[in-house]
Amino acid sequence: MSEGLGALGLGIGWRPELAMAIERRLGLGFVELTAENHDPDGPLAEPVRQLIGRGVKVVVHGVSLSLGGADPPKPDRLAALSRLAGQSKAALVSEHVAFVRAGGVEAGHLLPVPRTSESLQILVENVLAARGALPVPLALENIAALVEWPEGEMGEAEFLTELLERTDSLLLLDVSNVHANARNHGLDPLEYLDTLPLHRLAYVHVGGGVEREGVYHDTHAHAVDRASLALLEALAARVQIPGVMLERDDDFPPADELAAELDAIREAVVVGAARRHDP
Amino acid sequence: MTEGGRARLARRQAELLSALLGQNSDLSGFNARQVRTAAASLQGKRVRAIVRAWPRLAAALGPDFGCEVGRHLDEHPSPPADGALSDGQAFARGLAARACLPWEGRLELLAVELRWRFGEDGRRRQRRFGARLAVGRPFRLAVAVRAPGVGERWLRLPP
Repeated sequence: MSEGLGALGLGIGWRPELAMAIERRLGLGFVELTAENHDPDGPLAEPVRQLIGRGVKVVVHGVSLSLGGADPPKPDRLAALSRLAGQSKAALVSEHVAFVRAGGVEAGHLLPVPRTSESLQILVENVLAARGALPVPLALENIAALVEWPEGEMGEAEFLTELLERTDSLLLLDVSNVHANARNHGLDPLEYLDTLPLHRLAYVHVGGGVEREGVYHDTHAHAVDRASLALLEALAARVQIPGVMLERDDDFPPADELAAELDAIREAVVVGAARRHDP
Repeated sequence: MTEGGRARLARRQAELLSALLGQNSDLSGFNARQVRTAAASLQGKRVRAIVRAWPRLAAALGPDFGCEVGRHLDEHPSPPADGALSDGQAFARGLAARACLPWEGRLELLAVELRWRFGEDGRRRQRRFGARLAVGRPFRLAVAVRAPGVGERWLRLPP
């Protein structure tokens, strides 16, 4: 366990391209497996099995349930998440507050839901259906949205809080997505943190991004920026963080750069946690 | 929730999504600049995912990649449910149908189709058995088989 962190500790999103660097990195508490990248009928990838054998914990992460969509989550997708959670002895499954398809068409990425009481009710029903089908608790993640719905009735943090309370779900907080939405839509990121039910925090995502033409893009292909680390520190000053992980999906850096990013993440938690203990 | 609520949400989400995929220029209420930025971001992510999943094809196309992948996106505005591997498969097959698939791309297509099958549930699964053949001009040949206990065996001429 890393200083300042809870049971999961410091982690990373497992990707085949990073398998070697992850295997060599000592002190990792957990890896996150993206369900859609694993054969739903096949065995776990050998490097993942080895990590589990070493005591590294696993969290299963879905990207295609479309919990924010108009249709209830599909049983076969839930079954695939459940099977992977069983195979990897995962303590937790996570998904997004987003929709990824509509009208039979795929978006290929996570899109925001309108923040109305009507769509909240649909989301609550979808999340409860998913929770009922999964063998482990479900954590819900905030997304970075480049486009905002005109029919918003409530703020993002308020909407997410209502959803978590009404479904009794855990929170996967992506601090880089909080930064992205704060930067692009003029939110106050600290007020956002203060609105959320942080006692529901399951773990935290940190990912890199880049600013182009005045818009921040959450790419997971660039280094983690200072603003995300500052938010992570602010979060650690408010609550004990059970686990925090780096998301890197593209332009994979050499192992030493990756290690430096993980060190910076741990350092931000240590500094924030010290403020919590000794304000 | 009443079916009316779900139907309303479905309609609005489909309207937004088709605008983001360049299929609907009549989206009301949204900030047009945000929609353009989000649309470009979706397209960029899709193209980068194809490059990641099909590195040999992308490299073999070289400077033609941008133009060819743009044509693929125009012909298939919505990405497939099972992700970039399947997206790139359709891209490669489209190139092959126009006799524009470079030999290295042909070999990558052969390797992917030897190993994977794409299910109707939007998930890919590893094949246990498979055999594939590719022939190119000037004369080039690749034969590959896949079976449990054997793994994958390739024969290429010229080697």
